Amino acid sequence: MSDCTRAGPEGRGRLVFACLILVAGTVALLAYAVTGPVGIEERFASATGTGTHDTGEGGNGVAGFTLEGQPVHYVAFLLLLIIGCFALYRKYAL
Amino acid sequence: MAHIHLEDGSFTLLWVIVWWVLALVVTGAAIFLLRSAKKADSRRITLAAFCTAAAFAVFQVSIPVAGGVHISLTPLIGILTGPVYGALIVLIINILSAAIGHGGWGMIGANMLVNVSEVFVAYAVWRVLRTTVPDLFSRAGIATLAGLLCGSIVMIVIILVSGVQGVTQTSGQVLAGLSIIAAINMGVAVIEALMTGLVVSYIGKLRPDLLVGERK
Repeated sequence: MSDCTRAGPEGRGRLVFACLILVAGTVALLAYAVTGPVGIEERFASATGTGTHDTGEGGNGVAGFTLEGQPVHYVAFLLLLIIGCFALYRKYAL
Repeated sequence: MAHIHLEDGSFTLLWVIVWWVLALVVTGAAIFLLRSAKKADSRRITLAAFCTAAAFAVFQVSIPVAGGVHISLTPLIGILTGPVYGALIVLIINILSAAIGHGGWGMIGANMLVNVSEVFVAYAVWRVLRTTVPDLFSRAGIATLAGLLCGSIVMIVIILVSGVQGVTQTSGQVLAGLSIIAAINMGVAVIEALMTGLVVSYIGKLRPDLLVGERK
């Protein structure tokens, strides 16, 4: 833990991270200015020259958040995963 | 995050098989390494299950930023579970995603390779920076950005190598279009890097033993 308490390396790491965020954010904003507010599927279709297809998105979603694929299947698989997690947690803990 | 959003039939059967075989080789190697371990890390299995459920839940949600983007949590998977469990987790997520209609079955191999590269690079950067960047938040963030950048590059390479059937665009035009997607993905990567940094630093405070390579 002694390394973690030193201000130098921590500050250097945060500075590098901040610079990377700045670069990545700027690049993304420039790219967004080119494409405009289109969805990922449309961006892919435009980039590769394929037509858009039905992704089975679950309606308009909530507050702009939408679901890719079939909502019923999504909930079913998620429930199975949660049950699996619960069983593993009971058996092995964490 | 990087994910090949093309429907089945976009790649020729040959390339679908090639990417599937490579993905199965990675999967086989991961299973071999797990089976050859002297003792299974039961807590890591539980953590891997939690990561699978969380990543599956998040990955299917289109976030209303820049017209709709996804977050994958693959770098977080790499940091928390390592590349061996991570390879199996991303395979499961890609299979379940295809099962609910998010991505084609033929694309699972290619998408798994993209996601494995994210997991592996994030894990590698996380480990390499252990001594030089002791701060968990920034180290996890840097690892996430590196992993997702690598994933975008692998995605572009796979699509360019495979070629997309039935389109008239040249490779240069496809490369230009995919580069823009990769650039936008890096904006999403910033959000994911901040999220991953917060999660990892929080876990590091409460349960540092859960972080790969941080166990005392």
